[in-house]
Amino acid sequence: MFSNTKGRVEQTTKNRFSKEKKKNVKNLQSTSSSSSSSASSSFNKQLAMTKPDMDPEIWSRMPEELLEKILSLLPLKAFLNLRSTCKNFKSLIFSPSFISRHSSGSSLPFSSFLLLSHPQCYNQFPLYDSGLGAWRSVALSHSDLLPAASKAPSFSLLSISNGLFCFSLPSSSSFLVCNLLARTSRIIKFPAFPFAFELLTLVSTPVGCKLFMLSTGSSSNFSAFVYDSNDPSWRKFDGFDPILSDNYHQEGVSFNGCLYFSTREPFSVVSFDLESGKWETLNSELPGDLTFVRLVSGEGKLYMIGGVGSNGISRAIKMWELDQARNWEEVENLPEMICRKFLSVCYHNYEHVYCFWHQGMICVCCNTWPEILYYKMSRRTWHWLPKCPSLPVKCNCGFRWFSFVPALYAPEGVSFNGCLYFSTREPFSVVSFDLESGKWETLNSELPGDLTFVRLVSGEGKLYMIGGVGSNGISRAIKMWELDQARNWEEVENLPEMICRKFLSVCYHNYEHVYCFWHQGMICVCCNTWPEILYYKMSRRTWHWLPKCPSLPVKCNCGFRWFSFVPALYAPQSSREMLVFWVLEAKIAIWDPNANAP
Amino acid sequence: MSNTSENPNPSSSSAKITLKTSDNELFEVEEAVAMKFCTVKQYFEDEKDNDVAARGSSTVIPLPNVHSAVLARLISYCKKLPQSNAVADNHEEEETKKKERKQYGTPGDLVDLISAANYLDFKEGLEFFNQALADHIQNKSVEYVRKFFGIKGDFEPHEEEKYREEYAWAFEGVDED
Repeated sequence: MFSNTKGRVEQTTKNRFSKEKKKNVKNLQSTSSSSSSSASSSFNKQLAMTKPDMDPEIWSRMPEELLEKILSLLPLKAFLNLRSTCKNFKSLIFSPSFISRHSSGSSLPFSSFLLLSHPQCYNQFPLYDSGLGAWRSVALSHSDLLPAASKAPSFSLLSISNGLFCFSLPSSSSFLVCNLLARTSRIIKFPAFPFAFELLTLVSTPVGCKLFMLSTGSSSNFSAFVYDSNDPSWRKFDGFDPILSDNYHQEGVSFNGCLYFSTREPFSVVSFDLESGKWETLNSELPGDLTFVRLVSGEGKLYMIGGVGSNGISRAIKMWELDQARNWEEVENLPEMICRKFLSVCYHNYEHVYCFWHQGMICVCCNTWPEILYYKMSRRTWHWLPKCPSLPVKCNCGFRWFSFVPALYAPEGVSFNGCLYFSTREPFSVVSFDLESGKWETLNSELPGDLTFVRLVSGEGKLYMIGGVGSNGISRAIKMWELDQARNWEEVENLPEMICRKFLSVCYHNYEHVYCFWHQGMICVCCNTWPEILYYKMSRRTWHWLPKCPSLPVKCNCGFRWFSFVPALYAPQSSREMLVFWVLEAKIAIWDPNANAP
Repeated sequence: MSNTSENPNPSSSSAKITLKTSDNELFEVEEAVAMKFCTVKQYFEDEKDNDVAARGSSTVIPLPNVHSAVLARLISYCKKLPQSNAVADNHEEEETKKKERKQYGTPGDLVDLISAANYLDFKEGLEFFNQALADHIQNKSVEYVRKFFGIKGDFEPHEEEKYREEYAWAFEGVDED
């Protein structure tokens, strides 16, 4: 939701650069008669003498909001490393500038891991850093997990999707979905009790997560259950083809909004639409003489790995890709030596074989063997991933591998008509993400001219835009527009001058700190650096300042993050709400409009 | 002002602005350069409104928070503004930019440049020097950063230990201080 001035900086920089070359700035009465460029080369030495690196006064010369800015420019990993510097640093991870920067995908990628769950590594998950190509000396342990998981007497890891983990907590009849990087979690109660489930699959989406599983529930027939974090309840879908049950350790493969499964003999591929709950059989003819079939999806393609042979004995292992015409096209044939090793490893018992995608690699694993066989897409080569050194020499079977790609947050957007809307940086535009189809679109409505910043708010079925109007990054006015029936931005409000001046001085013309949200017929316009909220009452069409929270210290830092919190028996949970809990823990007060109504 | 004769483009030399630093040095700069400093711009426009600008370039704008050495540095940065501060697309480009940012002096200098750019409300400069300082502390230890900024750790030892361990799985060590 946050944009900054980077786009503008780029543009003006280019324009000015050409002009500057012609101009010559002279240092008039400086003691040295040299030009300013040579003055600056001697500047280095001059300063180095008077101000050593470790000046303890630096802190006093450096306003805190600047330090926050600098820290938000750090790669996520470097910042996590420095968060134990002091309490202030630690709370910065929740600052809007930090969150927006690290959820936009513009920051450098974090490491990605292959994670091993094995019964002999009790409550420890060894990690293989696939970027460095090495095992981490430190395993992910019981204590790294969130309090909710580590306090549970028993829990088991069921599924990982990108940076999200799904555990079952049988003692409390619930699932736990957590993000280890953001250290946020959500408990999801089982839809019924007692409850047994199969094929549990976690799917992380750009805006949350979905949980799928099969269960008999209370009846004797299998049903599909889907949980959506954006509409936090279980949905039950009947009419399921029972051929899928008894499918050992297989997860659904997420592809084009559906989960794909391979069935046992007679082999087939079926899909389940996560939105409509409809099952379908893929009509594409499968290759002949298959002995087993597994599916993998990655980079927008669906692959099939399978054994080819007769009487349940494989002679070869091949890989196929579902092409544009929806035919299975053979793309790989496992080299003979590697194939022999793999088949001997699984004793021709293919039930133990499972596959998954990890960062441009297709991993083929066997539950009974400590090595992973992987295919590197870019090089089209097959390799064995070495055994984890921390495992005992003689170890049992039960090797369960996961792809773990940590990420901080899904971006926050403005939800409107089933889409999330985001405003972009300069050149300003409004884009939407359809939560159903997953499609991005740019809103064609022409934006007003001379904008300095843009924020979106939706409420009561309408989409509003708040923006600054001015030039060269300096706002002269703040206005509000409404998207009308004809999808044009119609001006509905112009902030009164005195209020506008105060607001602009509050944010020092740095609009990165400005954010807006809807709360019960009010549009709230906030600045991260200021303890008051500016709000617009829709019913009265008036602007007001919400007074500062009395429990805050007189002198307090910037980092004001406000949320609209509307308690209800079944509150719509969203990623925002998870944030609320963490902010509360960081002891930032939230003003309750019901208790203090003006 | 004899220096104006050296300007290769006399038609654009009409407007010059004189800035006075904390150590009473006077800098005469092109209006276009001075206008990048929003604080100066604001001051200049206010003066204009008050009709003081009728006296033209004789207006001296005081900058009591900026040392002459720092201002010289900022002006020289303005003259060779890098093409873009945007996040680089590839690793190589990123490395080139890092080197470019490193040329602007020691971390101590950067702090001066950042506070001056902030005071002058010079956005491009602020962003550039912020990134330069972020580059510097990127792989440093908590101890180094505390010492550098003069920050006191305010966690209980066991808390600090806990926070360090929370992400132990994600790291393979930091640079030597």
